[in-house]
Amino acid sequence: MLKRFEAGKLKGNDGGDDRRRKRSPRSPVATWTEQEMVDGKQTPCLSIVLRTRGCSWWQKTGCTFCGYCNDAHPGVGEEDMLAQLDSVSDRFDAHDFVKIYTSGSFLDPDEVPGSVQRKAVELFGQGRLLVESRPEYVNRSSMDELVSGTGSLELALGLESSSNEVLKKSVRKGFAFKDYTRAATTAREAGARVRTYLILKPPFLTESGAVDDTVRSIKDASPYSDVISVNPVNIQARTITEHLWRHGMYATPWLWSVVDVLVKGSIHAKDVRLVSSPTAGGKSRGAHNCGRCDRRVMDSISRFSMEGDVGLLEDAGCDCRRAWNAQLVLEDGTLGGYPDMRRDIRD
Amino acid sequence: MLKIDHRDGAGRSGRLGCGLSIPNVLVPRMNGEGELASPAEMEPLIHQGDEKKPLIQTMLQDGVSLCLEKGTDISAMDDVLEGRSGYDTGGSSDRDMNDRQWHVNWGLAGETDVRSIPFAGVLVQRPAELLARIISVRGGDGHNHPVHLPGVHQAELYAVYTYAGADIFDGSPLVAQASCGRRIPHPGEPEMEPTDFQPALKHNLEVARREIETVRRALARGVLRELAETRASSSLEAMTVLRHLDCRFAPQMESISPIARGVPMKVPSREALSRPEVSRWIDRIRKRYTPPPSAKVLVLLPCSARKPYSTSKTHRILSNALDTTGKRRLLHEVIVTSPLGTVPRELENFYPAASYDVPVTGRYLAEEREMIRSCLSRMVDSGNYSSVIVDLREEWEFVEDILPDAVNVCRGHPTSRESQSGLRSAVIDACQEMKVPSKDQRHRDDMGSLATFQFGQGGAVLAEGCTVKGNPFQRRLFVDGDQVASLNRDRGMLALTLRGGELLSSRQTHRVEIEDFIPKGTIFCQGIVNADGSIRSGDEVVAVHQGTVRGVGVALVGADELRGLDSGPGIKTRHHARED
Repeated sequence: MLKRFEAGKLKGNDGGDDRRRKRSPRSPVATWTEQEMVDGKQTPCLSIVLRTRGCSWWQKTGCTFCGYCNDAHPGVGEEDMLAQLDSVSDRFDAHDFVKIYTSGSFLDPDEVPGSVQRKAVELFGQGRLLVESRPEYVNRSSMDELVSGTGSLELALGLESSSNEVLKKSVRKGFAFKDYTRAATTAREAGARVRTYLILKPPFLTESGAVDDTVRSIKDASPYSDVISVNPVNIQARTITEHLWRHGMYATPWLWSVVDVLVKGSIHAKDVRLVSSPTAGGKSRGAHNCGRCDRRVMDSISRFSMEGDVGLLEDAGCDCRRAWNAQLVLEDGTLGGYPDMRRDIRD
Repeated sequence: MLKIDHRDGAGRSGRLGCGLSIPNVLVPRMNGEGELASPAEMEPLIHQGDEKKPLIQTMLQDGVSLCLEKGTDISAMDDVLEGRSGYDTGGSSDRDMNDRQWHVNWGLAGETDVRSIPFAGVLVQRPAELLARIISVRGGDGHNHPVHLPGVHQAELYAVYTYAGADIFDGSPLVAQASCGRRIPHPGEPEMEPTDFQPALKHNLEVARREIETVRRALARGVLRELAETRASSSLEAMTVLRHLDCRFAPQMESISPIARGVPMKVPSREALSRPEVSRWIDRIRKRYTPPPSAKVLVLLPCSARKPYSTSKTHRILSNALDTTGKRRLLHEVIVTSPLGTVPRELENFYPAASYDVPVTGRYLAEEREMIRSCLSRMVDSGNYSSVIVDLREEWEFVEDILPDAVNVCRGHPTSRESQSGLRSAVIDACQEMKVPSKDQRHRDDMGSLATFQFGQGGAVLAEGCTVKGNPFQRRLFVDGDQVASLNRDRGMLALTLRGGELLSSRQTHRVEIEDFIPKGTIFCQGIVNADGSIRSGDEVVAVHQGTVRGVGVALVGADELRGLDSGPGIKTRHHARED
């Protein structure tokens, strides 16, 4: 792994970075409420990001674009995490849908101890509960326990791509597609729902290669998923992707690509909800277009995510779409040197 | 197979076996409605004659293989990120550069491999890294392959990167720019207002076409360097490239630049002061040159607008004045000039001293002064001079302090009557007690200086104990009754005979090892096994096979290309061994 990024990892974190030291191990990274679809109805949903000691994979090497471990804290202990859960439950009323994210895997006992897992289920498991994990921590007994303790369990798996090559070279995910299918099958057999996260345009892909990869991944993941969420890359601090981006060797995807993926993916996503909520969409570190049409396209993506109607997606109506089209065709031949025309349009 | 018609610096023009002419720009092929095929098929911007249009399929069918599968793998990518060792030539990374393949090969109509440099379009923002990779890819066997810079479309960079060794540029970004209505300006011209796609595309391709044609014309006329300087003067990026080539990559550029060119060297700008021909001259005067031993009095003379100096009015007057003293064979006449610093009289017909042009204003830039000072003090130190006589006007001001015992005879103008009589009496004064060397002795010494300047220390063998015959236009050198070389005033360089070749090869210099044959006309690179590293394009060389001299002639390319090229002419033979 790259030396320059190791500084951002946990070893380097214990004390050096003032900005992060101020963050208390007893408070969660973030909490917010949003609208979600549950059984065809719009339902208010509570999202919690727990502060943990960090993803096990990050401690080994980490994914190219993931900076969530910047929010981790090496000193977080069992007591601290229990206190985080208490503070959230004090502040919010009960919700029918609660999502609990960590910087890594909820099911990893080294990251989230069993007592904390049980407490979370106890506090937030009345309705539907979503937890996220890497596939290696998913087994039948842990799934049975979680499913029995909750009204309805949704297991979120960050597959990112169904292509092992992309997983290995672009994402550096540390697992293969078959590890995902095993975990998803196990979860479903235990009675859980499966939500699959896909990444759009990890590094070293061209725009068209990235679109193709995600559409293919939607097709491949559909048989194992109840919901597929398409996440265009956003540039997170202290990541390989940020390094490449700063050196002009990476550009975030166009919003047109997100739309294209959703339109093409819908054909394959039978009996599966296809959603997308681009982080930092329309901003320079997130998926964006020319700047004039970003808000309109973002709105159409969130309406599509709610209602699932492809007709709601904006796929025209701005001159910059021609530049995007040109890039799809031309970028391959430039071996990484394609200019990011969005900047020019913004001027 | 790459057929090269013209060269300048590392730049070249010619064509590939499939008919693609270089330098060129690859542009995506469009149908009648201006639509692109997907994935884009590339075609050259400039077709010549009725050649078959080569279609180039882009190598990468899906994005995954982008710089990952071909040529480079992900572990190389790691190194790129980790300190970017392979890209950075600042450190001692020559080994890295050679160990790793820094290019992607892709087929071009199935014939010649084009060498593409991944991320060139990004690296163009960091020219030192891109140049290091171009030079690395061009080295050795790389001379047989056109170098492609994907993503590099800026017209103002064609001249400098062609000069640096690139052959094919990328038109895709021109289409991308047009897709946003952007029109790229002609090199050196101000930005243009955006317009619609089709007119913008037509305009952009026209700009690229015009510039590539200009680069080709410059190559054909041998003035690519001058064009590159012109482009650098109006583009920061181009200027950065040129300065890196002249400083950081000076050794590589010197070794590939020709020793003589058919056109005068024009020095219109500061940039030209550091061009390879100039730095090579200064370097060789410093490292190779020794003044003729029989010349005891150093006479510093001004340069003249007309070259070679002897043909100018100024120098005819000064020569006349020196001749009348009867002591001229005791004098070492050295011309003080910019940008070459010092030009000894016996080298005045050598390129570029024989033909260069500078803007003459009588004022010298700080760097010119510094350069002249260091060349002069080196010249004074290297010779065994009993005194120094100076006939300089503007230059005296900044060389006075390094010549403490010198007499400046210049009064008004260097050729004024007072100056001439001052020069005469100073020479007579300085030479009073000294015995004037014989004509033969002085000729021999001059030829020795010239031979070591041309061939390095090994060249001295041509002049040791030689006899010089002939007139100033055509001198011939004899050793033990055999002619070893001749000096033609037009070229200013010694031309070898077979005997001279034998002497030179005994000193292990300027040899080209060839296969077992008797070269009768041109020696092609197929038949060349090895070449001494000091050989430059235009140098006199000796063709040898296992220790026996097979011929002598003029190298048409430098040592690295003689070794690396698989085809094309390498040496033009002048004399060859007898067949028996």
